[in-house]
Amino acid sequence: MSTAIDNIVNQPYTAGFKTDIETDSVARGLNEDVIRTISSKKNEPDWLLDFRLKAYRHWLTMNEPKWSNVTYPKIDFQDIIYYSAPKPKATKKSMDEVDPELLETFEKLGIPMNERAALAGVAVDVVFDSVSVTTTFKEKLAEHGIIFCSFSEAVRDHPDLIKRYLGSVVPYTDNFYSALNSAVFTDGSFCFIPKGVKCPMDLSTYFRINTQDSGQFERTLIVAEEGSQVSYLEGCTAPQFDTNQLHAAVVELVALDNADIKYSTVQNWYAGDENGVGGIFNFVTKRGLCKGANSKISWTQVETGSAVTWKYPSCVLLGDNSVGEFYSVALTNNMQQADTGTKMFHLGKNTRSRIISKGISAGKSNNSYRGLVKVSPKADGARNYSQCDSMLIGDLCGANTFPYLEVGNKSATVEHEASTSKIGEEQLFYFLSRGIDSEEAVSMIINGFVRDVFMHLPMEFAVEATKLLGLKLEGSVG
Amino acid sequence: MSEQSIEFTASLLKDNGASLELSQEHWLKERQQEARFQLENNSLPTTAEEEWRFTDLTGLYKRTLSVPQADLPVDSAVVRSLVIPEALSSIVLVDGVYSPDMSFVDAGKTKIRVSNLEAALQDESLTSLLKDQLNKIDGDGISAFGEMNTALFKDIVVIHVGSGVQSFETIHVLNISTGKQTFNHPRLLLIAEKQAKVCIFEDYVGIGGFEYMTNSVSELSLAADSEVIHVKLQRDDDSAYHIAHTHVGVDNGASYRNWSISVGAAVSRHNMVTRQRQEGGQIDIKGLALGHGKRIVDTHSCIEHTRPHGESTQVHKTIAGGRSKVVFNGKVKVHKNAQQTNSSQQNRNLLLSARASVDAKPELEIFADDVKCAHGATVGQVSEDELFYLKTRGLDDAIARNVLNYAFAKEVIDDLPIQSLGGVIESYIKEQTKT
Repeated sequence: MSTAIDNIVNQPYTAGFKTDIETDSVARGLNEDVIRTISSKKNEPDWLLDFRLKAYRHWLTMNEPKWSNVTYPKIDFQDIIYYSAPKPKATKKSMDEVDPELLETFEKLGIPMNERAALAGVAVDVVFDSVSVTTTFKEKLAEHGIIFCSFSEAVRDHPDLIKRYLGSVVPYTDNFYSALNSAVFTDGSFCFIPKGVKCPMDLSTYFRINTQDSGQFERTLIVAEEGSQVSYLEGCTAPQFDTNQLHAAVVELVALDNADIKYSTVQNWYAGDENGVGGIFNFVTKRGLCKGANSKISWTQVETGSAVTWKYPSCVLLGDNSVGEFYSVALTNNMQQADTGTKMFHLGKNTRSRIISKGISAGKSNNSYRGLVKVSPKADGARNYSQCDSMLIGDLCGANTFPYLEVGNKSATVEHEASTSKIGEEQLFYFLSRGIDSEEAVSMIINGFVRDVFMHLPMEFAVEATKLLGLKLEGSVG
Repeated sequence: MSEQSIEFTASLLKDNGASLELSQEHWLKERQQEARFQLENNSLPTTAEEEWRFTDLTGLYKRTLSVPQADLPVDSAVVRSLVIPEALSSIVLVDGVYSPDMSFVDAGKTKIRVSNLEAALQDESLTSLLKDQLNKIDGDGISAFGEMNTALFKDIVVIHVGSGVQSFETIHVLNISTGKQTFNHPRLLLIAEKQAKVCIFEDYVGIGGFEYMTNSVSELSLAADSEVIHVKLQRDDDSAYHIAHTHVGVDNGASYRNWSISVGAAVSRHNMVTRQRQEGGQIDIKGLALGHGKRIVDTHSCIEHTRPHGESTQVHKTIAGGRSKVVFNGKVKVHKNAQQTNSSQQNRNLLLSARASVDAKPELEIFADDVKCAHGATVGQVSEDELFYLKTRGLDDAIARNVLNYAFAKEVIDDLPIQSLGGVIESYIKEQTKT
């Protein structure tokens, strides 16, 4: 069975192509002038420039964190292009005006923006490198009072909201990469759901990293006011490059009383070749603040790409009765490394959190779950349940679990369980004896393994994610 | 490097400068000097280190400790009352030094050789054992405090269980601290040869001593098909610092069973590394830690499966009351070649009071695919339903809670192989978990 399996496992990265567009970049390196340039190119107000400079000055005092279970060559932060935007043309009135080459890129990726948006009823805010090119369904959303636009537009049109919420969940002092992001972020998405509004469609952003050696530093901010509801999808693909690219995004979610935010990610960035050459370094800070009572934030992620993944989508459960959820599938193959998990901070009373993490390691990869459940002394009645399962495929990979449980309240109940297993010969034999070939059997077993997570993905994403897993892994059992 | 810890180390080394003279043997002197060098050139841990994140030793570094006075009188009646009736031999160390007067070895019955450092160095075979095994059971797992012990120990208890000695004889190693603001570094080396069986009871207690530091290292080597039962009871004085290292090496087909019970000290830390050295082997570890008053009780355990077909189980229970802090870090590491490993770990923590806290970190590090590994951790409180049930039977709230706390801990001590200890530990639990 192994030839067929090898063919599938060694499938080349289909999203690996580079679009030739003239780009407007600043010189390599980082200093206050670069930050001022970025800020002035984007016509930003002074307060935002101040925010960037403060972050930059703080960043200078910080050291790169070393505690995670990943190894990668030292990053030269002075060898990165911090701003690169497709050369501005006249303002686009319709999709026809968008650079055809750019549209073709999305075509190749299977995201025919206009059709897909219409058919799937999804509004797509496309981020191509750092600048948002077009936003669809904006008017329809506007009818409901929903703001969904690029970060730059939001800074221009809704400065009060940005001023109030920017850095309120992930302050620039939070960590090394969030400080860097706060200093140099170029664009991203902003989403605001007003009081009592249920967002009528799933909101979606596709990220692309294009210019070679350009770091991508997006910033996403989602604010859900009292009683509102939104489901947000983030999907990523990147072209194949040989030098490592740094991606250090920051995502902030704020949920007020009774608000509900669901954030789903499918991440399929270039993971490097089988020898570990190239690939994206993905150091992302994602955090949601359940600020109001009865609010809920749910993270669902499917991590299949990147050479190094380092991210911990977290929930700060501040409001009483608020709920945090984390569902994750992390798949690593070849030389990929992933150190990912979540943090649940229980601060309010009767707060609840649930963590379901499924790690699949194949090839020579290393996959770690690292999670923190912290119950503060005031969080009476806090409840957590965590389950972390790992599956190993082959004997050259590694799976690690590092859960931290820090409980300071006696009325809290915290449970954690973890297991490690492989696809058993008996299981395969069972399928074979029923006429299902090993290829399909493995795919079914893996689909069963990740089911608890995939059922929380929105429909379109679940389809895409299942396809991705199939491509990346199917039948690595030999 | 924290200044305080440097000063602390320097004061220990200064006071203890003369102890090197004890070691006549060239190789031993070298080993102690090497450890001393390491100690001088590396700082003691602070909370900035991941491994010590939850346990702050600043209080220890602030203390001024000295070498305990030799030959302090110890009430022999008290010592006798502590020795368990099951013990065929009892080895008593007073402030880390073997006390021949207090110790008792039933020469008529025992087949096990028990010796202190001085006697061992006069015996050729014991000397070569020491040379082979001392500091070698877990060469790379030595922490700064382990080095401190190696640099400063004054005596070693050497227990040699010959090949085929099969009687689960119980040896009670009683470590008594009598000093006031002193330190001691007890050292134990146990060698179980092929098919040997032994039961060792490692016991730490303060008699008259306070604000002292005990920094022990116990090394146990289990040859093929041997069986070792190892019970460690830490009941140091409530003002003491207790830092302990247990390093265990398990060979093919050997079985290591451990009970580690921690009911004393102001701050205690148990570093435990159990390593499977050959194919097969069974490791079973049970732990109980009581947090009481302002105590910090920290258990760092690591079970390493380095070869195929190893099995391990671990149950660690803790009860945190008062303003105590309970820490558990339990690592299970399965190396690349250790296929068919079967390992399970459970950590259960009971929180009794609003100001107590629990930090639990069960870790799995797995590099082999054909293994079964699972772990579970919970933090919770006494169930209201269970409490209500007992109250309907006429128990008042305090007694009902006490019963439930004991019931929680009972799983760990239920099958203690040393019967008389059951009652001793029960009374500690009931006393320390009173509400």
